[in-house]
Amino acid sequence: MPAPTLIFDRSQPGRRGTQVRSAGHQPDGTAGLPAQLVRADSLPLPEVDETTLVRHYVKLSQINYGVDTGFYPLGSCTMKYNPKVTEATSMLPGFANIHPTQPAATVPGLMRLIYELQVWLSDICGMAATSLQPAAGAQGEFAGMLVFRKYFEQRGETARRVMIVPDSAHGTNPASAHLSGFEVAEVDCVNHGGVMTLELLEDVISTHGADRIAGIMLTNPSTLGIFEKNIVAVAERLHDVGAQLYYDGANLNALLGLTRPGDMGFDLVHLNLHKTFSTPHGGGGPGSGPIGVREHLAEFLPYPLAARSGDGYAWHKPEHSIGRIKLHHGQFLVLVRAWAYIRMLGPDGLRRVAEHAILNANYVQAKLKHAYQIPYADRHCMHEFVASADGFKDYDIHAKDIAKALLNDGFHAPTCYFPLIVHEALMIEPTETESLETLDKFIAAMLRYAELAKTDPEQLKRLENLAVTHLDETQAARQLNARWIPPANTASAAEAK
Amino acid sequence: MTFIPHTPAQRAQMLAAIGAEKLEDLLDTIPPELRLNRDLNVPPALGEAGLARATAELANHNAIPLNRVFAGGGIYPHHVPAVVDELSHRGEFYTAYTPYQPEVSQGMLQCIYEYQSYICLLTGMEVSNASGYDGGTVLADAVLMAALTGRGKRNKVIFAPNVDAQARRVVETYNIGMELELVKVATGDATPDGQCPIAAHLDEHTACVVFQYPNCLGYLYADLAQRIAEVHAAGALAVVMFYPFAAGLLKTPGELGADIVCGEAQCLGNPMGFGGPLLGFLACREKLVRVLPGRLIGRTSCERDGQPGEGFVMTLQAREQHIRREKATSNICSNEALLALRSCIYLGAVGREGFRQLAAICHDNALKAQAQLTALDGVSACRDQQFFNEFTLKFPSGKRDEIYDAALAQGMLAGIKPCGCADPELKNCLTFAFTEVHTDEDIAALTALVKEVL
Repeated sequence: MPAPTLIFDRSQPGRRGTQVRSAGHQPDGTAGLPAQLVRADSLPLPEVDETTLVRHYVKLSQINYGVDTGFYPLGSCTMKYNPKVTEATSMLPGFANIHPTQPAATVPGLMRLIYELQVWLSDICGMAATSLQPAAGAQGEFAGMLVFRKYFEQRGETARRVMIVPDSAHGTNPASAHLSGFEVAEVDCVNHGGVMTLELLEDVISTHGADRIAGIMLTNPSTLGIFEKNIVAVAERLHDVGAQLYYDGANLNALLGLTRPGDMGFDLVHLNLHKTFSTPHGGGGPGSGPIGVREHLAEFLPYPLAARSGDGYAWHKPEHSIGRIKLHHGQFLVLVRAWAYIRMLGPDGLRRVAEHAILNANYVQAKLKHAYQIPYADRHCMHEFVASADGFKDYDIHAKDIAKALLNDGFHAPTCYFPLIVHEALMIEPTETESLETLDKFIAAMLRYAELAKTDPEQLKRLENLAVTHLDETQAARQLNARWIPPANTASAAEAK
Repeated sequence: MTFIPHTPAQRAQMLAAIGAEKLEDLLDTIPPELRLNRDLNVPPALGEAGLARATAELANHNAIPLNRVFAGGGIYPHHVPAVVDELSHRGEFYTAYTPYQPEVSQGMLQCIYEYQSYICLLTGMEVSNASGYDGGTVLADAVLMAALTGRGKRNKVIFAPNVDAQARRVVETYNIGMELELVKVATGDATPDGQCPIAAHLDEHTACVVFQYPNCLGYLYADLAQRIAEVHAAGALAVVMFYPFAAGLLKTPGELGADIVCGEAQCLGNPMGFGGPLLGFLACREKLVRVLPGRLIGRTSCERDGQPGEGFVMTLQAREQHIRREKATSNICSNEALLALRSCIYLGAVGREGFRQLAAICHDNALKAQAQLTALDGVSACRDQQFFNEFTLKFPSGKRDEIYDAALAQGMLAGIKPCGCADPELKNCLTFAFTEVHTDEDIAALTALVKEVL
């Protein structure tokens, strides 16, 4: 089949779909509406029966790869198994069918859930308070930047407008800082092993002036999957000049119950509940990006927060809150899943998650380190590591070829070409929910590619199992086709009569 | 339960392969002084049965049935067809991530392409992004788009009367970094005949005017197209925050001249969920595509089973943060793909005629309810304007909260209290919303309750 069939292509004029209301009640609908605003024709939505609809989307699901399909070692994204019981919990009508304007006093259980999650996440991160408002990791970063900004404004330190961002950081970091009105000072960590050294820090402080530095955005473990030991010294130096430390929580899965960003000296943390706390990634969302802060920043958090009030709970707006970052009460049904996940694992289970995420990553690293270049493979990695395909460039084999070969063999690819520190990077995060059998199959495939790269690179590039290949990204950008356009004559059968 | 599959023997085997004796050995890169030498302060672990018991305690026991929720304000008690839950819960969809690898993500890529097509149909726009967080954040995105288009010369954003207060709060928060001039046209400025007086505020510094259609009290500006023409005459852009269900009966914002259309699409097959996750949509004219934030899916040529064919990819990524970093049009990375997929399934399920009929039922129910409620002594319409499925009523002084509380006691949500408006008369008002879940009996029950309190 050369072209995909859209749901619109399956439409038959006059065909009816799912009946929501019984046939009895069919008002004309246009009475009582301004004549200038009433539409003449119905919108050309598809006309399909429910059987056709179901088969259409089942077919589409069958050409989509998820964690439920197979191994998904997408570094920095923590594609762990999503428990079915947490899904079922989130669909309970007592959670799913509640209107957001219902007063807090009439939904004590929901308020308790939000309150408890705030408290638990604070302890997990070593923070004093947590707001569950941000909708996703990037919005958590943005909210965090605004908290810093308001904090400095409150202190009269309005000159602090420089945010230090390593060039090895994820692109959302500089974008979030910029959107918050900070001047981004990118530091060349790429050519210094991806590490924020004290020397680099001194350079950037003296370049911009100690009293202009607002803070730094870092993650630990670093983007190489290595625990940064000098974090305490970096934190001390920045606090000395009056700056704040932001922790990007993308890599928190490695730390659960072992160590905490707060103990390392960070002032503010954002979390990705869809990574560490196993809420599904949903094909690209919904995520959830709570932020935790130390005591001195608590009054700046985005509202509303759940707070104790007598025997129950009430909504609370911190005194100097940056404001509302999204509608209503955060990604509530995502919060339910995270709450249920933590409740099932308990303190012991959370620590075991981190330990086994680290075990799995080290096992794969140990098995691959002789076939791929892996920076710092002499050390134990944390929950992920970065392998390089740079050794195969003489054979015209690149990271993307390894990635596509993995797809061809039924795996998902690692994160490719990130971090930029490593040429031809393949960032591998196995997560704790993968079995030894799965890891061994992946390792065997990766070792086979390393061999094929040298002996038969053309064979490695053959993608015989993939139905769709060689998608033309240049054409997609140059001749934008981003929607189906209805044919000119679209009057529905009902109206044609 | 931890979902960790290793047996003790396998763990030992793996440690041996690494050259370690115990798990603790792998943690040697964490300085001892940073180790947490206590358990995390979370409750002990539960099995599935225990979890079911714990959640049953928290989920609202006396959840108000959908047909007794008469509240909207962006989040509506629409019926979600069973087929939506069934299909969106296929693991291949909901356990996937952003379709970075198009070869194994054609399913989700096509769904989002269909979603973009649906949003363009519903809004009358030419390009839609792959979704945003919610109706508030996409309004902030839309305002930022207008400011980027104004290239620093146009930094004023005008809110027409009665734009959702929460969404405006979100824009204010985003504006901490943008530092645009936000101007709200006072509610009292609205003329009795439903005209929307923005002309006095328009000038050469105006980046955009934001309209809500229908507005936050539920009402329709009959002359919206003329107002938009005035905005264009001043060289500014018209941003319309839209309730997409209204497109079943009403002209799309695009047909009225809008340049950017955004809003909340929870109504298209998603649960209310106490307000999250929601589905923000954002669409615009094609000439604005370079400032449109977020993911965008495009159709392109490819090889299918070795033959020339077509498929889908993420496109125009040069606008995005992972390429442009601090110069990107936004910091957005993830979106609300799963809710976007649900909206596709929903619109396909109800279909062309079904969607029109559902909109007609919503509107008809609202007409019936307004007629019955305003027939009661002391109850009057807040505005003498026409509406789609939501309207605002004024009650005798002091009676508003009494009605609202009495309704809650009877397991009914009697509208929402209009908020964020300086207009003191709104303190005696409730905004009611009606959908296809409401029957004549439900409307009669609401009317009886109001009558009883009065």
